Amino acid sequence: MAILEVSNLKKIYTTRFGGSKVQALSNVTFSVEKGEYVAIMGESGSGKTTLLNILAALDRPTAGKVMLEGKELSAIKEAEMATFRRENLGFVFQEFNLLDTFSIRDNILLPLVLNGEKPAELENKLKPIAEELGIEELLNKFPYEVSGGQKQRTAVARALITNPKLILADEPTGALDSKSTDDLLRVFREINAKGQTILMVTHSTKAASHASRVLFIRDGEVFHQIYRGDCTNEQLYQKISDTLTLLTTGGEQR
Amino acid sequence: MKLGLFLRLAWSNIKKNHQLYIPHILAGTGLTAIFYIMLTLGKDDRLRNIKGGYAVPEIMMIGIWVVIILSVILVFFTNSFLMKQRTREYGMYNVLGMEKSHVGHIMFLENLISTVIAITAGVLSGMLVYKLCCMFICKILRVSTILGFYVNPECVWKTVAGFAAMYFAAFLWNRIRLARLKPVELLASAGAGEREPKTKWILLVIGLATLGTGYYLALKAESPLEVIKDFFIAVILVIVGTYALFLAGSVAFLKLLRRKKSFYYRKSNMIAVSDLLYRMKQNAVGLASIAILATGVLVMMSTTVSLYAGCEDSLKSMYMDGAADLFVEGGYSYRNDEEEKIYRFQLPEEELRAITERIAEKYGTKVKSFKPGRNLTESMTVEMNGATKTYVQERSFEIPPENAVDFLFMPIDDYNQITGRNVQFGDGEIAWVPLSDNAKDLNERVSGTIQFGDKTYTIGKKLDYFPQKGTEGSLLNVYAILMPSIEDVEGVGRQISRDLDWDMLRVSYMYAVQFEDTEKFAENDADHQSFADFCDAVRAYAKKEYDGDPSTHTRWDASWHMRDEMYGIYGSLFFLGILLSIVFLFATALIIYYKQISEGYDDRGRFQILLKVGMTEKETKATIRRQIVIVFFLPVITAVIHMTVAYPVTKKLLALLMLSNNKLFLLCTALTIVAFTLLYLLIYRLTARTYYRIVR
Repeated sequence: MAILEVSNLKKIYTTRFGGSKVQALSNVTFSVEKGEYVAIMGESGSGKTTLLNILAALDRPTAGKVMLEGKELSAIKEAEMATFRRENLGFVFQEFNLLDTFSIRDNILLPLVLNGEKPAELENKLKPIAEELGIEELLNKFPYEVSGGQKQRTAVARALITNPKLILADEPTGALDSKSTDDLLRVFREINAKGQTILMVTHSTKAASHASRVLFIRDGEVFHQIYRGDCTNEQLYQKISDTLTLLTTGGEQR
Repeated sequence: MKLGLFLRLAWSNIKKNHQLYIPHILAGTGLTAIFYIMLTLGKDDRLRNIKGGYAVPEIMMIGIWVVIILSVILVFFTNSFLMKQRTREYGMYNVLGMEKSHVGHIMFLENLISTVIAITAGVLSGMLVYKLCCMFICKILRVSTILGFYVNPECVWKTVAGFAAMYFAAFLWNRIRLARLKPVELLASAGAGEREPKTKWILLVIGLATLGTGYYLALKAESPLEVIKDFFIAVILVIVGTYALFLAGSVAFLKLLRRKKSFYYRKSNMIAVSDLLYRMKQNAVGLASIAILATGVLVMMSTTVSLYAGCEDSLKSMYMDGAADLFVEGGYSYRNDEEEKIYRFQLPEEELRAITERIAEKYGTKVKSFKPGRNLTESMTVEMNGATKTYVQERSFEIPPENAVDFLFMPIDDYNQITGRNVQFGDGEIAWVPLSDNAKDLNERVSGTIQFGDKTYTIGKKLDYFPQKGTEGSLLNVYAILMPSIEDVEGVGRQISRDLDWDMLRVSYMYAVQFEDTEKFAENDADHQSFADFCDAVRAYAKKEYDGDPSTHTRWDASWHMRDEMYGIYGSLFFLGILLSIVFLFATALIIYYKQISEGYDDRGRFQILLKVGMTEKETKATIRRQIVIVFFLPVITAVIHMTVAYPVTKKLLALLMLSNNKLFLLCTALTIVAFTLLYLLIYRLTARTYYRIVR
């Protein structure tokens, strides 16, 4: 069953002065099955971020539809949007976006507290996730005291704690060193193996090679996609780089 | 050529950073203007020629020191804030290939431009407003004189030189800091994750101890002397305590809240508590300063306004509840060399009256009433044993107030004449009137007889009205004792003289005079000529009746002179209060404004994250607004608490200045608090706009 359905998505920005129009997305259609781990790749300016912002309901499309579990995002009222996002979506960002005034524990608990969870329940939900991500030792520390990889795992824990239907990750490895990148990708594999649906936008071939499916976007359209099938990470890596070469050398979609 | 480039750069920097420079320049303008006005008022001889105006320059020259100290602090504060905000920019110039000395030149030119603008605008606006100030002063001194435009070159150059020196010193300070910084440090952003504030337990204890002691001193001070002595210690302790508690107490309190899970992990509390924790760390000093400044404004305005507004009240209580326009006393001392003793004689009542009538006629009016108010005022201790017994002796300040009394003896006839009452009692009896609040408390226990030397009186009546007021607030037991006749009063006086081996009978043969038209005197007697006339007349009489050269001991205590004097002093204090309050408000506004700017940039990042994590814009705004409101009103609330604690002490201090109208003081205090809060709200509104612009 498709958890996310994107059909004929179009986004046109109008610059504030002069009224010239920029087309960020021309026609994007794809769907994500429950339990899938999808990576979206593309160059800077290809419309990745716009797409992610629309999926995250931070932005509205000019045309087209986004359905999350059969519910159309654009039909949700502005006032209910924040609650909807909190309850259904988890976010992981390149820059972590942790609040430096909160301890690691409080950063993870924030979405639950915003949802009005009972204070007594919080610890029960926090414990398994912190253990899974290997950050239970860090809970009382503050963001400035921990490494980038640990910050990103905190962010993942924050995304997971509400049991979202879908995790949206925006360049999650972009600010990490290679060891932390490996760690994080392993974490993503593990939570995906437990049934968590993940949609990740990335530049990194390595990150994408961990996904079960890779979508390529160019000039605001889905240009190509690769299924993992039985490939190993290495084989998928190779396939992705071939496609990227094709993309940059200007091959046409077949 | 280079200079031209640097000048252009400096000017464009100021324009680019107008958000920082406009308040900086405005504050400089305001401070310069107020300094100039106060200095000019201090030197303006025209003021000395108007009624009561002699007090204005003197009080201004005292108050100007407060302005100087605050100006130095503020000039350094704004300069170092500007420097902090612009460090990155200076670093960029350095990286782009400018030498530090070049950056220093630019910095100097920026300072020069802003200083020249501030001082020029300050002096010019000071000159313009000066005439307005003079008009206002004439208004509060209740004179119709119109003082025109006035410029004193000495004041101009002193103001310019003083402020230029101040700004130059601040520039040097920044220049030294610039020289010490390395380019990398100049560039390094302030964004390196801030540490969680630690609870400073020692500071917390110090804060609690100092504030507690300060409050205790303020509340327990009882005698007027104690009040004066302890008041300053209490003020200093409270200031120290305020700073310490804002620094340490706020953090400790918020951490306590954070530890309480059921409170902390709630939507509306979690973000507020942890954000406030950081906010307090950054702003504690600023907020404590605002609290102190606010307390200063409140105390200053409430007392000076009360004193000024209470002038008529005080006058009334000083002049027999309004029953007298003038007190005259025609006593004089006469030294008899053969007996080597000083005697005190009394001008006959008819003679005194004749002199007063002559003088009244000279000023165009007539005596309406001429009533005796002869009295003897003496401090003594009372011994009490069942029936009241009194023993007279000299009293020192160490004696506990319980049995220390001030007695005012007056013949019952005089009392009846002045008050228009008809109190009667038998021979050997007296009437007993408690005057101070303390005495009223003790009054219940007084009964039976009272003994002065070998003469015993029975307390026949207890009354509750006496025309002379102003002693209610006194911490001594002040009583009036009404005696059957002047002979009895003199008897007590003689007894005291005998006991203490004094030369004189200290009875004051005073008369309360009312005129048909006192205004005539008020208008034509600004130079106290009537007093000189009176002295001459008494001296002439003494010369005629008693050969020799008696030194007169006379009194011509005119309510119109006192009125001018009171309006002069309290009016000047009132005006000083206004000026200083303006300066304090400047300081408050600056601290708040710069706080909002520096906080705005920090909050912007937090705001964005909260939006991404799933808060609506409305919720986010509401949380931020709530925090700002708390931070904003904390100082005002603190100030009001300080004010409340200081209220009884201030009341006692005012009582020393003869203001005993508690209702008036309460009203003035309440009005000042309301007015201040409104002004503060206005400052908040203005600065919050900048803040939201940054955050969005």
